[in-house]
Amino acid sequence: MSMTTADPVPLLKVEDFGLEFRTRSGTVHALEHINLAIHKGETVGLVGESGSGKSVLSYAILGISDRAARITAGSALFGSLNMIGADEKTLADIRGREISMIFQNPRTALNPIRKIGKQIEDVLRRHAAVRSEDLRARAVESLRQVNIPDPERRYHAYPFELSGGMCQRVMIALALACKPALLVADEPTTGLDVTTQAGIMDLIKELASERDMATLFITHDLGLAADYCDRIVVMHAGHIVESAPTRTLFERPRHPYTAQLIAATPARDSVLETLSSIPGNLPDLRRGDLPPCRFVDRCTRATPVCREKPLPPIGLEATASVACWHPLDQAAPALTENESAVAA
Amino acid sequence: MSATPAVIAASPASPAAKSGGTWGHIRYVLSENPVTLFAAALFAAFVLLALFGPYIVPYDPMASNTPEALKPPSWGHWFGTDSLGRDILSRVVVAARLDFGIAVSAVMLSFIIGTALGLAAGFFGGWWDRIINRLADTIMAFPLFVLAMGIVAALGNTVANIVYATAIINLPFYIRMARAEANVRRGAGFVEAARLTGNRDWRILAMHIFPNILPPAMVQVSLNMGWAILNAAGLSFIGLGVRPPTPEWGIMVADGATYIVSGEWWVALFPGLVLMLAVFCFNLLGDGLRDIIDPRRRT
Amino acid sequence: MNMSTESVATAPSPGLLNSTTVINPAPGVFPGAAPEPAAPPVLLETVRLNKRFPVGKLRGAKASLLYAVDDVSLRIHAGESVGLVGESGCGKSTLVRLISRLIDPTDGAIVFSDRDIGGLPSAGFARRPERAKIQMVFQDPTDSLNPRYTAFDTIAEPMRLLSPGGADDLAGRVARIAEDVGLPPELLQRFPHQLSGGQKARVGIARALAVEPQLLILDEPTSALDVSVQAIILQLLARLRRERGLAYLFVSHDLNVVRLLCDRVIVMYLGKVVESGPAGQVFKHPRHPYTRALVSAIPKGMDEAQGERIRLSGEVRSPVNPSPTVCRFYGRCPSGIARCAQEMPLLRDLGEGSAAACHLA
Repeated sequence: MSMTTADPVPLLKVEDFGLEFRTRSGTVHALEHINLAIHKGETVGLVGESGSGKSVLSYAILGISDRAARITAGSALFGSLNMIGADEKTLADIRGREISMIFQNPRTALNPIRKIGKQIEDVLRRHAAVRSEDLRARAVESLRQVNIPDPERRYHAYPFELSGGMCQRVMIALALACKPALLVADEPTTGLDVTTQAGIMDLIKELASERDMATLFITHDLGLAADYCDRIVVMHAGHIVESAPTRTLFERPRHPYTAQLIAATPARDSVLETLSSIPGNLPDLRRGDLPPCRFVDRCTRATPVCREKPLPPIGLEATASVACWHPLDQAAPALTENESAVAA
Repeated sequence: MSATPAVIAASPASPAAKSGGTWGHIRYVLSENPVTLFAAALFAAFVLLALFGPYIVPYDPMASNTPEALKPPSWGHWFGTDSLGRDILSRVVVAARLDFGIAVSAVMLSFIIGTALGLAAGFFGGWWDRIINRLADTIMAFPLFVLAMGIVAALGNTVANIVYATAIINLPFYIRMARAEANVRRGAGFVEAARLTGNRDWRILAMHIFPNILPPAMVQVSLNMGWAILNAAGLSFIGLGVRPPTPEWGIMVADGATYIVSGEWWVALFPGLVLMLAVFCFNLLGDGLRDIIDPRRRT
Repeated sequence: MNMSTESVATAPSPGLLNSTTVINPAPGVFPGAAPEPAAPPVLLETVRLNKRFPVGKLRGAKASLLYAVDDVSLRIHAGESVGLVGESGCGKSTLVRLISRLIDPTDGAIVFSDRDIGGLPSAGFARRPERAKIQMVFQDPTDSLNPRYTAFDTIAEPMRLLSPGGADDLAGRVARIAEDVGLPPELLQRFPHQLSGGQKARVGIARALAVEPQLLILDEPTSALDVSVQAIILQLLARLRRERGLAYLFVSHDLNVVRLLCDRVIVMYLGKVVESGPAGQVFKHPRHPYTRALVSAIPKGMDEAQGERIRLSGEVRSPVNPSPTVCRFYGRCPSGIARCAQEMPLLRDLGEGSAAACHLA
């Protein structure tokens, strides 16, 4: 899990990105002031609970957002190309070749009526300059690289014949067929059991280091992110609240939400009585009067300034930064407004 | 130690539109979708006509007045008169009651029986499924209108038989729909939970599954009504079912068809127009209902 | 075909129950309870329980059978919390549905409070007195609540149908149980889509507790919830168990959560029980190679003390028409020997309440 020397120019640079959804019941301010940089070869974990906006962000970068999504600000530079606003043809060329994505439910992400070997060939045909007679050999080779036993025979399999773990491997093979520079993995192991999960994550890690590929690993499981990521970015209600190298994040979390998330995740030596939960609910993102810090209603360290002063968002270049007026490495504020309401 | 109130604060999840409840949502849909509003208004107008029509028409729909036969639309007769001098407007309005009545009864009958059969087939599977499916297949093997004709011809030319015939030919539609919905839901968690809470099979069907298939069923019912009216009118058009002199849109169009060639266009046009409007109204209403009930499925 | 019920309920023959006697928990295993010489009474027992599903086309008389649950014998004592773990396809869902009598066993016995319930057809079980005693909390709170029932209706229904009081004072009883699970009374009139994940989970728990069961089966109750809500629900479950003396059968794939809540753990693999024992023991010193691989695969987080991950390679054996002489884990097991392919290992007592089905344990 050691971090390679970071390339000064990031592979993907998301700057001050904002996104909202127009819905029947109002405008949902899904993402705000998102700054994110991923360097070559780096594995970044994007951690957040449901409603944090982590998947929305990844879809937006790739240009596959829901039709109701409107980008309100910012850019997502992949190399020198701004993915936001690029035309569909350019994006389609990049997807699958330079940036690939794997999704949560592997069985539904694969075409159920086509053999998996053929699906891999589709990707190769679209993006790689491979002669037709070589396509099949390349596809079988892709299956072998993801440790699918007996790949020549499995080439002819349909997705329903494979287990969840195998389908996920096929999806990885599809994603990596053209050796992309960045892999976005959206909860790839949710729903798989622990042994399969370990196998899949090990595979991704191995392939990434072999090819010097950057990975954006999206998950709600903090423990899993800790195992596999060089750096972790924590999201809450559409904001990035903290970003730090993995070890630093766990040993010295600075944002109250990060600390509470760590405390709520059961670990080996957890005891039920001391396992904590995070009080309150996510704020309604349709409100027009959202406070600058969206964690303020659930935070034990909140003061009036948290409701008024806009936070300086997480910087791009800083290796460890936090978006909070009263981070945990400073003294607790004398006067908090929520302490009585939010009992332990 | 019980959880503090802050932990389980009432969820802000209810969308603003639903704060007014179902009515609020209906108002919202109607306001956003003028077409649905129009259809709803038209539907209301038709219902009023069906209920009160016979009391407000200017002329007796059955009264012949031969000197006034085949007069074109005028201030005295807005829709003109037919071959026996009867006022077409009055007849059209009074026919609404009959046509609506037939359509509603046929669809309700079809819905109740078809849904019950379909639920049994989808929920129990096995022999229930096989037999009920064969029944539906048998009905669908015939061109439906021809089957309706056959039924009415065999049973006799009465309004009741039109209702039965229309109901029968619509059965497969509801059987299929209910079967599919029951099939999907029988593996749902709340059905298993219902078994654990002491429900026996029939109770699960009645209290758990049926209420959940009502929303899509209601949409189908309203769409089906338009078809049922057309069906009844069609049967009358070819002389089966409703007998003259009873006013009914299909018969009136049939009557008028012979006069189009000789230039008396109004005898067939007005009943046909109103018939078309009724069917159109039901279809639009069906779409609107779908929006109200299940917005995800809107087209 | 169920075995004759009388013999099991009254005087179980020693031969049959040999494999079950090993699963007695050691005295003093129940936290907080004073160590007693006699263990609490057995609440639920399965004896050589089997469930086989026919798969594929029937050619003549011989259909392929999927051995979902294979010769499982276990005991749950009153007030005990037993965890059931295993990967998908191990049979834990089927086992749970057999125990809660949603499906019928192919053979073997299910005994509840010394009364055979396995022989009763599941279709009629809904109205038996035992129905109220065994209840279940489901995994997906959204899927397991009727979308057209309010929270009140959902909780009141079992009371109406199963409790001796019937419909007396329904409002009062529902209000009391809602308060007990931490559900504010104003939420009772809401429909599931108006409730948050944690609130729906509470409705599910309230419904299960409404008829005062003795055994509560929890099928991954927190896996659909965010981690921020999970702790509260787990603490609630622990408290309810203490206050009401319930026994839990806690099914989960999240081993860390099982560790928190369970006294004993049973590990299943491809329909068979491969290991069982006190929770702490099974996780710290797993005896079966599969359990070892499972424990090593738990994400470490920042916990350096956890050992190296054991990687499992090789194909999972097919549960359809499995060989009766080859260990189910053979082929994937890092420590297989020749004997493993010749003789099916049986669940053996290893002392201190632990048992494992492995020749090498």
